[in-house]
Amino acid sequence: MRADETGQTSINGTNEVINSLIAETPPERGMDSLNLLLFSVGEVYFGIDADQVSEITAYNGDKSDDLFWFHEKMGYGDKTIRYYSPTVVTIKTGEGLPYRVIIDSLENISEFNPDDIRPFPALLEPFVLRSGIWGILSRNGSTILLLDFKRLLRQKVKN
Amino acid sequence: MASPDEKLKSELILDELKRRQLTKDIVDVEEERVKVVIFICGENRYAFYGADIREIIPTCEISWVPNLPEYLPGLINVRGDIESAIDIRYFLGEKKAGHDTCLIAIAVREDFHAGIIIDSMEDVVDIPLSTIHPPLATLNGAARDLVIGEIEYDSDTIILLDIGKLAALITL
Repeated sequence: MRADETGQTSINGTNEVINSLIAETPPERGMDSLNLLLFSVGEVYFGIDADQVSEITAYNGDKSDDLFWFHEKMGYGDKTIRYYSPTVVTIKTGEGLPYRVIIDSLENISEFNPDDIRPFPALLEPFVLRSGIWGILSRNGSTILLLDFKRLLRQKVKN
Repeated sequence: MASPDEKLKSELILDELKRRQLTKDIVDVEEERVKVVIFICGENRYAFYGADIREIIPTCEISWVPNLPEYLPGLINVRGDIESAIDIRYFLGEKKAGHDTCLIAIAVREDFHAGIIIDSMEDVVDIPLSTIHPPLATLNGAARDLVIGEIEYDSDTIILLDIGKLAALITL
């Protein structure tokens, strides 16, 4: 890890690359592609729409009240979760303060065809939508759960 | 003495017996039969109607998904089709075990599709519909909500479970 000009740390410059990709990404796109930021927490893979992300920084031990560990908000229950490379993702909420969450094992942004996304089986959908999870992608034999932080926040406000 | 063309009483009786036997055979053939899939879950044998079970697949990876109830352990990928997995032990009151050596029974009835985790397969048999008895009124336990009847198999009474009842129980 090294510190950048703002005092924030990054892992081999990966976060700078991703942040630059986020900055370059046009805010509105059609349905022909979806740029997803991929990460995993506790060996479960997730993808979030890169359009929702405003900044990515390495976690520096910040204990602010507005900063959340991903597993605590996502119903991991009593599972012991280890973070190998904790990273803070700032989500554009469009309503007041941005949402900051600590995730793990961040990968690059990858482009996906929305046609490859599959909805959850009807049996599971009511449960997962409550936590902002809305779709499934398969990649290299792995299942990626698509997460919409805005949907999650809206759900928490409802509750 | 009876004329040669006249049927003997013994012939009449024998004909009647054969006619009855034939009728009985026809009745037996026409009796409606159903296929049932007998499986082991926990420490007991259970059965589903065969028409509700599309296939039995060997253990596959169950992808855990956050925020699901205990009886829904996650997702399974069946040749590219994503299905939900149901841990039926939760409803049967059977001991919870790992999923390492289990099988998945793919259940389909109308709009309901799911992979039901079972421990092992026992048999698939055709049985007369009349041999399915109503469940005992004294039947207790968590399984009661899922039972549609009881069948005799291998000198044992096996609980026949209804996929429709399972679907109704877990569909929100």
